[in-house]
Amino acid sequence: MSTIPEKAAETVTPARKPAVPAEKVKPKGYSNPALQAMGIPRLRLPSRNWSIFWAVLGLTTGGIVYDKYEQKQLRKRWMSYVQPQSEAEVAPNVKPRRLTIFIAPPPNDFLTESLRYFKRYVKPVLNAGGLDFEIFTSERQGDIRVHVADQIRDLRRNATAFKQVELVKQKNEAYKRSWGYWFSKFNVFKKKEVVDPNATKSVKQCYTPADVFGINYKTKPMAVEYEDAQFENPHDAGGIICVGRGVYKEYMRGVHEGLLGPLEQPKVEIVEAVEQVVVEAETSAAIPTLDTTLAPATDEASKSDFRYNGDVDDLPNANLKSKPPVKAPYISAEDYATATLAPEFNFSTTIRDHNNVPVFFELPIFVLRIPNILGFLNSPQRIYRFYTKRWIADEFNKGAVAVALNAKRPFTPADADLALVEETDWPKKWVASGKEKASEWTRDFKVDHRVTSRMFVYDATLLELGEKKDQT
Amino acid sequence: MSFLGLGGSPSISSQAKIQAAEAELDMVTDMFNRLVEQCHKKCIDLSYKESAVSKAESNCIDRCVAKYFETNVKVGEHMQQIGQTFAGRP
Amino acid sequence: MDQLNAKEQQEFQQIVEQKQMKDFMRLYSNLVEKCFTDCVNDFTSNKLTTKEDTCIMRCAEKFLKHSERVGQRFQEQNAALTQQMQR
Repeated sequence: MSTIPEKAAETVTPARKPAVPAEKVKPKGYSNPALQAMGIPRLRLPSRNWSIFWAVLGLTTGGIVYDKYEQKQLRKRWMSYVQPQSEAEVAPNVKPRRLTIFIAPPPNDFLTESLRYFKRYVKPVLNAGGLDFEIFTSERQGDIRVHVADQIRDLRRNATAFKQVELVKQKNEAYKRSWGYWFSKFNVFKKKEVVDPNATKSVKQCYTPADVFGINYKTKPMAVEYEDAQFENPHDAGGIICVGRGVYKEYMRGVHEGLLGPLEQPKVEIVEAVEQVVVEAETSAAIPTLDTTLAPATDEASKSDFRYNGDVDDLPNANLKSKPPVKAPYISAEDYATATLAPEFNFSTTIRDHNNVPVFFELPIFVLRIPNILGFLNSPQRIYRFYTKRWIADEFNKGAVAVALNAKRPFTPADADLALVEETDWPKKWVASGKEKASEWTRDFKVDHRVTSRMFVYDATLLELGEKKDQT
Repeated sequence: MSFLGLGGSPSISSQAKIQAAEAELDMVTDMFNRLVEQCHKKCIDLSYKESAVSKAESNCIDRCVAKYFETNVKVGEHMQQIGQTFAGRP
Repeated sequence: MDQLNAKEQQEFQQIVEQKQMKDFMRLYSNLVEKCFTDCVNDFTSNKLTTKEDTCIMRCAEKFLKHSERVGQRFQEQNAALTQQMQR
């Protein structure tokens, strides 16, 4: 018996270091001496590669999430300033304050980009404030100018027609007060009017929808009233928002052309129509096209929001080729000084249309700069802007609140440079080619004092917000 | 054909004309009622916090009516097209 | 087809008035149903509570104002549409 243990002792391999009794499972992974020094129990840290991966992923998504969160908070805050306005009561026959908004694609890019800025940052505030708005979009340079100038020329023509109607009305009223009318009423020898029993009327003339609806059994339909016509300060009505510096230039040129230019197209040499410069917009299948009528026309069916009208099936090139070329301006910028200001209007008071609503070009303007930047070499700048959209959101929301709350001041000559910052973002090649072709957006921008002295501008720095309002 | 004592056009009776006019009235009323129902569902807050229609709701109603009409017109045009394709087939 | 002479016009006017009356009745019953559906959901008692009472009042007023507004806009849109079709 004594030999076996000896033999066993001989054959047994040299003793290993005894394992720590408390530890049952040997931990995998690396142990960090720094953590050990701090007394933190063994942690399983990821490897270097995984750490890099999670760090990069975390930073990118974290940046986006934080930015979106901040944007949302800002939006809620700015909306709360205008929310009380939208809770006011409105009678069924009153149409609320109506803005006009002009949107065009940024240089060398799609209209959806501009629309996105508008939809995300301006529209929520306008809707929260209970403002109605009408959007005019264009896809090529010059459409907005032509539209604005046409509207003003129509107004000028209607103004003369309207004056005639007023004169006739006054004459009739004078006649009614006269002796001749009195006598004709009581004239016994007057022939009786004969009603033709066979005269037919169409069905549509025999009734109006209001005669059939049950709701009108007790209440009579009232004449439409416009809130815009009832403001004490006529410049509180409506408003214009130009989304982009190019749009602003076109709008101003349109107003100048309408007010200073002739009513008919001058039969001088045909100025070559400006070509489509937004190249990539031609290939977009989802170009929204909408034309709406600005205020003074009698049809009430003007739409208050845009809709995408472009058919996916249509060839984009065909779509654009079928449009007539942009009309040349009726008056060039050099002739502004020598032209006469529209003689049809009475400029001593605010010009109003037949509904007593102040006409659109009398109303204050707000210009938004679109921070759209293109190009591979601009990638760092673009990434930086991608992560700091909350600052743009703040700027746009604040501007929309200024429009909603009517923070305005008269136009000064320095305001011809509103949103000039945007031009630093325009692609240089695009600008150079535009200058060669003398395109609308790159031409020199001149304003006439007679037109701009009547204008107002919304200014976000004039906002007096008081205490922050809590959301209810 | 039917002989009437009115001395109107002999091919379409007065009754038929009145009935057609009545049908048109019914259509208009029906469209209006549906419109009221839909716009109420979509625009008006059901918690009834106040008895007046607010500005935001009014805007919503105006836009709802405009869009409904547009939808009506578009669907009508589409139906006409379909009707033509059916009529063209033998 | 849709030209009416004087006698037919009179008949038509009567029909229009009848239709309006009918639609008014329909509006009334619709309104009652709507306000009941939206406001009255608690049946512990067989009398209306004050909360339900105010809710029903507001509901009725709101619906009537809403109908009025829709009626006005309907008129405008209809007029614009007929104008457009005549062009």
